Parts: sequence; C-alpha cells; structure tokens
Amino acid sequence: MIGAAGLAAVAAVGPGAGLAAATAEVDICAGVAVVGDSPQVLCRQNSRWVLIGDDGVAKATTGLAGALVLDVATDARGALAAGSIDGEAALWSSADGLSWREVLRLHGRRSVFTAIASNPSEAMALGSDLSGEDVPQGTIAARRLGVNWSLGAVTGLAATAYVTTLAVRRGGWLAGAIGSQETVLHVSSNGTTWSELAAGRLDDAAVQGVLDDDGSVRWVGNAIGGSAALAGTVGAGRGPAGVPDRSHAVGLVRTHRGRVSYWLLDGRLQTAEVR
Amino acid sequence: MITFQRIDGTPVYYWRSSRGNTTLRNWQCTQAFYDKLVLWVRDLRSLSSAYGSVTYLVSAGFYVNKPGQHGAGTAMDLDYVRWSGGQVSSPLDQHHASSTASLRKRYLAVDAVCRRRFRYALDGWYNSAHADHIHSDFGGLPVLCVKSSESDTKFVQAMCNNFRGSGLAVDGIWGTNTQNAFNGAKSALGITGDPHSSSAAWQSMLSKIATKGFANQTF
Ligand SMILES: [Zn+2]
Repeated sequence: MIGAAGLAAVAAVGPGAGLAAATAEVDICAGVAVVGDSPQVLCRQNSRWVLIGDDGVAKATTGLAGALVLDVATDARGALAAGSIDGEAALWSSADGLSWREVLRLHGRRSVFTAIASNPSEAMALGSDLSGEDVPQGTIAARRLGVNWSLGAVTGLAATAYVTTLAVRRGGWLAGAIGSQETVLHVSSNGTTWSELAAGRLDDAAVQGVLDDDGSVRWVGNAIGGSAALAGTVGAGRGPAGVPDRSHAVGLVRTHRGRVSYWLLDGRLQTAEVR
Repeated sequence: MITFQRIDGTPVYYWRSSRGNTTLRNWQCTQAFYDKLVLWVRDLRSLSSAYGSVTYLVSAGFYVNKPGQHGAGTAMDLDYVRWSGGQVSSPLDQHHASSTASLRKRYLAVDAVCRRRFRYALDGWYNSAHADHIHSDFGGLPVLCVKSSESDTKFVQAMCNNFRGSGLAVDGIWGTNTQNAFNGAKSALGITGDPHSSSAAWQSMLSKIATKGFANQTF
C-alpha cells in the first residue's frame, strides 16, 4: 500500500467541454474500470460526467445527462454503469466509456443500482428499492445473459443495506453490503443465493472496492467512525491506504501495473498501489 | 467537505468498535451540514439545560463512503447523548423501546430536537435498521409535519402514545385516530398555526415536545 501518485489536475477536453470546466474540480466519482487496456474513472465535474484516464485528462461523455452514476465495470463489450435517473434505477452500456446508452430503467420505481460487474458470459447489477425517505428497503438485482437485461430475485443480502461493490471471483461473485457499522462481504456461485464470506465482516469500514485473487480478498474503503482511508486483506488486517487520510475510496482495479486503488481528495484523483 | 472532531465545541465519539472510547475522530461532512449541526446542538443544549451541559455526543457516522445522504456528507447517525448532570439518552441501547417511560420520553425529546432542523429523521420506530441510532439528513426540507411521510407519522404516533397515552398503532399511516390524537397534542401544547404547512408552527411544537420530554412530563 505504497506509492501514492497524484494525478495531474483534471483538464476537460472534448465536445462542448469549454474553458469553464477546465479548472473544475471533480465532485463525485462513480468508480474505476479498465476500458480498452487502461483504467478509466467516471467522475462528475460541473454536473457533467467525464472519463479520466491515467494521464489526468478528463474527456466529456454523452448519454449520462441527469444521471446519478454510482458504479462502473469493465465489460467484454466496453464498460457498464449503474445508478439512477430521476430517482429510478438505471443501467448504461458503452463501447468506449465515452458514449453511453441506457440499457435498463425501472420506470415508476423509487430505486437505485449501486454496484455492477461482469464476467465473460454475463453481467450483473445490484441495488436497492428506496423508502419515501430514500433509504434502502429491499435488494434489487438485474442480470444480462446474452443481450437482454432482466430483473430477478436474490436472497441472503440485507434489505436495508446498500451493496457498494460487486466483483467477479473464481466460480462466482463477491459483493460488499454496508449497514450502519460495517461492510459485510458476501459470495455467491449463481448470483442469486448469497452467503457471508468467512471473516468477511469488516467492522468500521465502508468498502468501495474489492479484488479476489484466488481467495485472497483485497479491499479499499473508508472508516465509518471518522473516515480514514483504509486498505485491507480479508482475514489479514487493514492499514492506511497510502493516500492522505481524508481521501475517499473510488475503487480498486487490476492493471498491468498490479492492483491499483483510486481515491478522490479535494476534487482530484489519487492512486495507490495495493500490495 | 470539512473535517471536524467536535460540533460547536462538543466532542463526538465513535463507540461501534469499542464502547466508551473517547478517541477523537476525524469526521467529515459538508460545510452546510456542519452549520446545521451547530444550530441543532445549540437547540439541544437550550432545550435540555436542566440537565447541565451536553458533555459529549456519540455518532455512528456523518460522511460515510456509501450511496445516499451519508455519501454526500449531509447526514448524521446519532448513537448517544451525555449531559453533565449524568443523564444520558441512548438510541444505541434502543431507548425508544425502553421499559422506563422517562427514557422513552427523553428519546422522543432528542428525536424532536433532530426534527427541528432535519426533515428526514429516521428513528427506532421507523424500521429495524434504525433501532440503534437516530439518522438525520438534508432530504425533504423544509421541516414540516407531513401526513404522507412514514417517518413523520410514526414519530407523531409514538409521541402521542408516550406523552398522552393515545394507544395508537405505530404504523406510519395517518388515519382518523392519529389525526384526533395529533389535534389533542397540538391543543394541549397551545400550538397555533399549522404544523403541516408552517415550519415555524412545527418547530414550535417540536420544542414544546422536547421540553416536556426532557422534563419527563406528560401533557
Ligand atoms: Zn444514517
């Protein structure tokens, strides 16, 4: 967990990005995914979604206007995004990370997709139905087998917890669900029935990225009591993440450079290797 | 976002990993939310002044890296309040469901103080996920008593039951019995104006509920 590198201040380029956006800070980041052959972070800057690569250059996207995007994933066909629009859960797909189109929307349902992942044969998104006061009250799940997305039921995930991260692991899936005092990591072989991962109760941690390397599960996130930046390995402890403590975890990806965590600090992206 | 360890001078601890811990935490929230927390803690101090000063607060999170208001840095989970007179109110210990009536009234007093500044205050009656803390956030403002709101309705029902023995089902549905009980409470507290359309009227009613709750008085 060493080797923090601040990315250059993000500069906006692309159609209509304009000078005003050039110095704008990022306010939120949906997540990081390898698109093509390099990690790209989808972030909101001046109410617009931009894609930021390791060169720190922010490129304008299309198709996400008005959306709240909470997670992105690498996909065999490019990239996937999950979130909501007008308070209704939605998913988007993109070949290049720049041009997005909506592929699923739960019309008339107060809901949000909060995590998405894909393996070579299918993709999955998890999220929550929301109460009138906008807190989770039921888990929602969507699967893509072939070309079409469809909703299905899941069991074993707490109805009142947000699923903040979803990843592919050998023989199935790995998800992190956050309650009021911990993130609980769950595993599933079929994507439908979920159970707690052994030693997967991460007290005082809000997890935003997980990677399972043949059973060794690395995670990044922030403390709940205070919000210190954390990196850990399930069953083997946790420690500082190699970025300033105030940084907010964005995600964790495997690249040709190894495992790299992404963080947002004062409107700028930071990275740190996770060993 | 800003980082803070105290709200207007009052320390805020974290007990979920270790009860009684007094290590100061570096909490984060937005400046606007912190400014509202200052108003909230000043309300709390003045309405509970018979208990002395507020010695410390315990929270289960402000900014938390997850979706929703916590992720935006505009929410607080309140676990515990301790006064210099030795009194405590502990959502963490589910005081909303305590067998001791004074603790239930005190919980409702703290709940009412949250509602003076925050519209979405989710408490132990709201759902099981909030059985051990009171959540307050920036959603749904301005503060009003909204009959179609499950949170507001359950608070009114629990309040009428605990202060006036109304015997209502705490189901979040604003029906005739809830309306009658609410009218009775409003009149007993001498509230003029409409708490459903006037923030000032609702805040005034909440202050009076809090005063009665901290004093362990029915009305
Ligand atoms: Zn909360």
